[in-house]
Amino acid sequence: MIEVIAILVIVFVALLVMDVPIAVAIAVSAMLAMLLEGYDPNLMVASKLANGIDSFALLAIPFFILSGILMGRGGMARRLMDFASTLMSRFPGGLAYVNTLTCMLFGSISGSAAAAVTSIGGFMLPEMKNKGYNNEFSVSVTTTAATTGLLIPPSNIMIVYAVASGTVSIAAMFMAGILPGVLIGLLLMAVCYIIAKRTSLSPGESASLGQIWTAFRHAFLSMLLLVIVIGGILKGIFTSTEASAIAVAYAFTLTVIVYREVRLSEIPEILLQAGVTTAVIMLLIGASSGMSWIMTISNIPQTVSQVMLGLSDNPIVIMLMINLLLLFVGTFMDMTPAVLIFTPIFLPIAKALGIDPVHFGIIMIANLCIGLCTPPVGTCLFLGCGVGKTTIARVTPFMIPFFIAMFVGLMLITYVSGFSMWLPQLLDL
Amino acid sequence: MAVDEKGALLRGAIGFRKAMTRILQWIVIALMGVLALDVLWGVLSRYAFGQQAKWSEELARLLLVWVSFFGASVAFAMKAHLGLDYFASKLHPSARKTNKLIGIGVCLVFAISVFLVGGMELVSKTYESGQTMVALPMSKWWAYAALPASGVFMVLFLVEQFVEAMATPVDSEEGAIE
Repeated sequence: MIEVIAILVIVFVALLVMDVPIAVAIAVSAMLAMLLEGYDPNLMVASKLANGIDSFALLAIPFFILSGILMGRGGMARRLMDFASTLMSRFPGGLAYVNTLTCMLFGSISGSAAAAVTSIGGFMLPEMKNKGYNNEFSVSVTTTAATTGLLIPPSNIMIVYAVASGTVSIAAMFMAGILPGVLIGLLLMAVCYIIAKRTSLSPGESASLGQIWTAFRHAFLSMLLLVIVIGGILKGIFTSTEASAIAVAYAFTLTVIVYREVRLSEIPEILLQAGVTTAVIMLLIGASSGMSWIMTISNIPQTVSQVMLGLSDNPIVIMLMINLLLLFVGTFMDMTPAVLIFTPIFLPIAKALGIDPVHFGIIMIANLCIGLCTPPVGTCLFLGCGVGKTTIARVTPFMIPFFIAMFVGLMLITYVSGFSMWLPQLLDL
Repeated sequence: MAVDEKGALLRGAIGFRKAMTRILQWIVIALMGVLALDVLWGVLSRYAFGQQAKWSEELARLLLVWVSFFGASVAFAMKAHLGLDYFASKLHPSARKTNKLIGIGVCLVFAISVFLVGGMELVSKTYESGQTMVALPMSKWWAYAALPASGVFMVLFLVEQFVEAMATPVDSEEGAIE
């Protein structure tokens, strides 16, 4: 077993450093481990790839991606931003709050933190620069706030977790994520408040009630998408996959027919972008299920579980250990493979401690959100620095207060189960 | 190899990649379009006729597999797969070239062994078992055939990238020729 772990870690890290695609690095390290254990790696990984993807639940992912792209191109991000702006820009440092709130709303609608960073960052960063905000501060706000969209439903990573756990319902995950997502958003705004006070950022224009109402009307149809999707799933009117298809139809109607901001001639390119994004995620899912399989065959989850439960039987201590391990994993591994590979390892331990699998999923996602913003592998950080035309080295000092806020949020979510479980229990999910 | 010969090889490789990428991109676009219409039809039919056409879910899962594998091939051509270029970009140009060639080599081994060899094994095993789909009048191996079918393109793209990386002079920036 030690050999298997050694091969998996060394080969994966070596290939990662060499800039081999992450999915290939995962698959190749798993294949070498399979070879060592005497399995046919070609057939094994091929069937894990095909069968790992062949799932009705995962079908929601391409559609949430597609509706997210449509909403982004159709000017929905701008409408949401205008609405958030009428509410928040009156305060000192108001644009930082506007940025956070818009990221929460758009990240939720698009189901992707990456899309939120690029869409919202594209509008907000130049705007904040013009108004005299420090660019690195603005990039930090955008990067961290974008991850809240992964906790606020609909969220593709929750679908991946539901599939990886095998038992959790997607509807329960969606409901469980709302309060933790809002909590982290508020904590990030608290950091903005402190920094605005210290650096005496000036307030922006305040909007009249009439202006708020107009902006709300313009943003209303975009936000209605969330109500339809979440309400529909909750009421049992449709499954999450059906909801995702309805989201596509809704986004198409809104952006192509109602607002006419997306032309029909752009549709092939949008379909291609969605198809390739889907494929990248699906290859990660297939490769990760291969790695997960060889780890299970080599008894790694059981051993990790024994070791950790042998160190302590105190749930608080164990959960702290799991969180620290996941924070470490999150710094160099992307979120999707991390969820697929570590759910089978840590979920049984959490269950043994009496933690609800839904609650554990939210802890895991909130934790790995931090990893999206940390070097060396931090998708959101890379994108944020790209959009903001700055470097990781310059942004990192500005990120630290936001990391602290996210960590505080993570601890609250971990140890106060009510944040995650109150809504699903209330709704009897 | 003479310099102009290398240039011709490079131009040939890039032209080949562009033409093939275009074809594959249209395959992905068509598959995504049909997938969206299929799932929407599934939802509509459930409300219109009270019962969902059984084939629509099965077709959707089949299409997802095909979109994913063909999309994965295109992603290699478009260099859209997620990776970590931080360390590689710090290397000396000639070391960077070697590193790139090894990286493409690893991807090639992956594509050949999993998509072509493993995929064909999977297809032939399923073919022999005579397994069929539940609602669609098709054999089960159609789902697995996406592996070798997309694998052929994946291998071609990677070979092209290998040739391109070999023929690109060390001191020129990536993509400067295009």
